[in-house]
Amino acid sequence: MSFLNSLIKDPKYQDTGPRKPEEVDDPEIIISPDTRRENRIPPGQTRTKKWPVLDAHGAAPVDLATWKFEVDGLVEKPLQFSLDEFMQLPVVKVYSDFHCVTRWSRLDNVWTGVPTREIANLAGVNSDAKFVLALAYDYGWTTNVPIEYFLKEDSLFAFLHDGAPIPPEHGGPVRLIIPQLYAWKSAKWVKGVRFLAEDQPGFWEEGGYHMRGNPWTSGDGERFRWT
Amino acid sequence: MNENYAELITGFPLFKGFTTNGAKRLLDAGEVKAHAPGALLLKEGDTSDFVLLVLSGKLEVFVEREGKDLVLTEANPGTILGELAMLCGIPRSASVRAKENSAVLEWPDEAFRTLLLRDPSLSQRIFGQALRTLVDKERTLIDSLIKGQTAGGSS
Repeated sequence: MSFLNSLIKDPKYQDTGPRKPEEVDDPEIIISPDTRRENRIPPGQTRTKKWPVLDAHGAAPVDLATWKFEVDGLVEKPLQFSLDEFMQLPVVKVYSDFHCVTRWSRLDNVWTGVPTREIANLAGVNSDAKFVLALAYDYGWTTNVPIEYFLKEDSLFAFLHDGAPIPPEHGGPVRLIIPQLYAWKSAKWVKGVRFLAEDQPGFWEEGGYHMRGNPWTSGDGERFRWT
Repeated sequence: MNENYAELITGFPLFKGFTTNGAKRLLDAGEVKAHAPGALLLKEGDTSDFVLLVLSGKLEVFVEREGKDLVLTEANPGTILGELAMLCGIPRSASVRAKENSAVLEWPDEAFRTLLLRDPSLSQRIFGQALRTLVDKERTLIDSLIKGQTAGGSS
């Protein structure tokens, strides 16, 4: 298989697995609840052992020296972090699956990063905030997320995937990960979040993609608003 | 001007769920062109290097055979034209002219391919519509064959 791996040049190819959550040898790790399902593949999805790349504009040009992360909207204290400051924040590890709206699911991922709850606590989110707009470095790209999903225990701003820095094509240096929604809600190249009272469609949502994007709803999951 | 067209696009069944901003991105990927009645937009046999979305007015799809124009169908706002030939890499299979004052959004080959490649939802819709058009044509063909046979039997 290693010969095949070198042919397809995918160091993230999964030869085995997926592990069951109880096989993950880390007492501190947060287990995403969907990984405990008997069938971990949502309706209409197929497992991939690869780590495909999909985006709206290609990898965003991110300059690490000037990178900053901003928190604004309905918060008591708007925040701004440099990459160095961001890396000083408390860190968690999450074991989760990853479901792309284009029908592939990559199971068994370990993400390391800053919990979304930490960011919300530091900023002091007002009680009338019901939605979050994630903003990204790729040409004004955004996505909207209901606050209850943003604040799930397994949601985080990740900078490591399976222990290695997230490469640019996968959204590094920092990307949002919301395991309980389709992966387009997990904004690559994230540069900040805005807390909102009203839902506001993001980039793909403006083209008819679902406002929530839960892969587990009955039927075919919440993919689009036109089917 | 584009603001109004963006609003218009959100009302087309093919773009259900698009917001005005989403529609503006479609407009930004191409160019809006106005055509007076009688103007030729596509010519049968020409290279297929752009795709049209009818925004307003009415177009006529036709072929010329033995010196006569045979009108195949009319294209109303919300219809995409020329996508199959472009995707299949074949010349235009029919000509298109304006029947009324019409506006179309013209996407160059590459811009249209990029729209489809980047957006699985949009490609599903556009392929769906294109295939439905083909199925309808096939049904029409079958109907005309049956009619022909019936006519033959009664003579």
